[in-house]
Amino acid sequence: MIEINDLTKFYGKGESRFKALDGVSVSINDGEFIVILGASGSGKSTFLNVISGLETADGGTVAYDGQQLDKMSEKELTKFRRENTAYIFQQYYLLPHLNVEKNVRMGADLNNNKDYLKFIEAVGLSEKRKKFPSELSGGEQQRVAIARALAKNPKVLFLDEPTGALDETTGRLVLDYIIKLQKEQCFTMIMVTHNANIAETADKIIRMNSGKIVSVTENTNKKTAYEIGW
Amino acid sequence: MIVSIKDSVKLFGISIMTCCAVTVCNLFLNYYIDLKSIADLIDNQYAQAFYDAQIMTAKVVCAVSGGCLAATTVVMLFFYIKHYIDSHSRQIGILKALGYSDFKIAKGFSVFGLSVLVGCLIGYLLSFLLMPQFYELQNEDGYLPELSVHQHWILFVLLVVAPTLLFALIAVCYSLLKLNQPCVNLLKGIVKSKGKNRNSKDKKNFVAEMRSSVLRSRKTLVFFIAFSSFCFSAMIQMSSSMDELASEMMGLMILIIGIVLAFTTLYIAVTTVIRSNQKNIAMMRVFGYDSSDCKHSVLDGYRPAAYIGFVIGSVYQYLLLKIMVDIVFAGIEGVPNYEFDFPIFFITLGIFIVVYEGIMFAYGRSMKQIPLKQIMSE
Repeated sequence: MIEINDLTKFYGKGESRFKALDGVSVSINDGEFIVILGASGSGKSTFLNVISGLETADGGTVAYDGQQLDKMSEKELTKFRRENTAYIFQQYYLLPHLNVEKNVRMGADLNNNKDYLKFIEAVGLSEKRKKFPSELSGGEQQRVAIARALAKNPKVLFLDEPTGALDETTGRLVLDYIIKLQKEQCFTMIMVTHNANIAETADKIIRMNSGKIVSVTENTNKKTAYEIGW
Repeated sequence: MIVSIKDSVKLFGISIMTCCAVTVCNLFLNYYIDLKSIADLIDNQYAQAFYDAQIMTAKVVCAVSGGCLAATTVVMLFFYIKHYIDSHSRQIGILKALGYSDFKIAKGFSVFGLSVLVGCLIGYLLSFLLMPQFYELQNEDGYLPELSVHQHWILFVLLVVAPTLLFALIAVCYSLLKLNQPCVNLLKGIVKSKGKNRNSKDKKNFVAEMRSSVLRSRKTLVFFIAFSSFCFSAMIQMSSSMDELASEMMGLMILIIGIVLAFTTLYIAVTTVIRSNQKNIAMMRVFGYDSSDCKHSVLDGYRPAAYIGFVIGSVYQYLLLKIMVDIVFAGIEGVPNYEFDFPIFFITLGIFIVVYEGIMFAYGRSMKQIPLKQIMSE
């Protein structure tokens, strides 16, 4: 369980100083699929960065099963990331000089996962496993990023606008695949998006505005990636 | 114009390299020309043999150090231009898409010649500061008639004007060659040289694979690291022999040049490799790799090149001094016998290990400072 309590985060100095997170508190249960929804500048990406330990908060706490992130040293935080989390970014961030297989090994080796080829197969890229990122389409690159993240067997998967750079067809395909895997493997999934349609696929929707949570809604009418509007 | 004078300032490595080359070459060439002017005044056999040896020394030193440093400067210039085009590919792509010709863009790279001009000018002036003492030491035993320092404009043209123009021309030609690629590749930032699939090495773990890929992606840096340790090894060992073979001043000059070249080249190589892998390092840390994994994958691949450079430097300095003593100064009285100095070799090796590994350790630690948020905000 992830417990987030009274998080605050400031950016800038002097007159340009502003509050990106303003007393955010929420609890996330294990195995939940959460969508954080909000307009640009609402603080959703900052929230994701802070709860995933990529950035430190100026106030408040984030605790994973009672373990507080702000109490961890840099070494402990690295170990925590190694054992618990994985990320998928809008811009993929694949390593350009390594082929698909070796990019996926980046995640797999951390968990000593020798069976990483099944993730490449699962994202439908078995035949392209020797290709380099520059030889793949945007959708294929995002699928590699998914395989890389999942090969790590994470307990929590963070996604920052994972379909933001994809066209509708590829976006639906990628989203559908992530949701299926989350159901199968029961990891916690926290996704940031500005697309309200995508939120309809989640278990819980957290809406943010001006650095605050404005609502937390249980989604009783979950839809698949092919049922939502785009 | 996409390339500005400010960009030229960043090529301080070239300025330092050319400064060292011109200092040494102008010292010896100026001495050579002044020495030639007193050829008729030599009246005995000893003086003639000494004169011939001095002439030969000037030629050898200029050819070896000047040639070696000029070649390295060309490699460094190529490296800077390639690096500049790679890191500004989008802007260049936009210019090409707007209709700018390759030549019009390439012309801008001629400003890189300014860094050569700065280095050559400083080196030229510096050599004149050292020249009076250098002349005195060269003729310490008084074999030759008294020699005074004269300034020769031909050397100014050859060592300052010509290299500036030549390097500006090389910069334009090389950038023209590198710009000859489809506009869309530049816009998308697609690098011409892709990685290679090596099935036999697929069993390697990720960190080892990453290490090989970092090495393959920037081969010029392997040369720079090897050159850096080559300078360190050759110049320190050579300078320690200079007390006996030449003079303290010569030894100190060689030592300073060696250390400046070694650290400048190492700094350029290591900062470039870290900067160009910043995103990859951040991504590795996001996934939970620690800073020692990052160091292993980004920096440790260069270690063999560094030690090979050290060995080559040791052999080079031995052969050069052996040739100078046994061939160039063969007929001169009082020149001591020269043999490979093992104690100095091991002391230099010890210092090298401490300095090199210490620097790599410090750079490895600095990878912790790369902000993870940077990758998220791009």
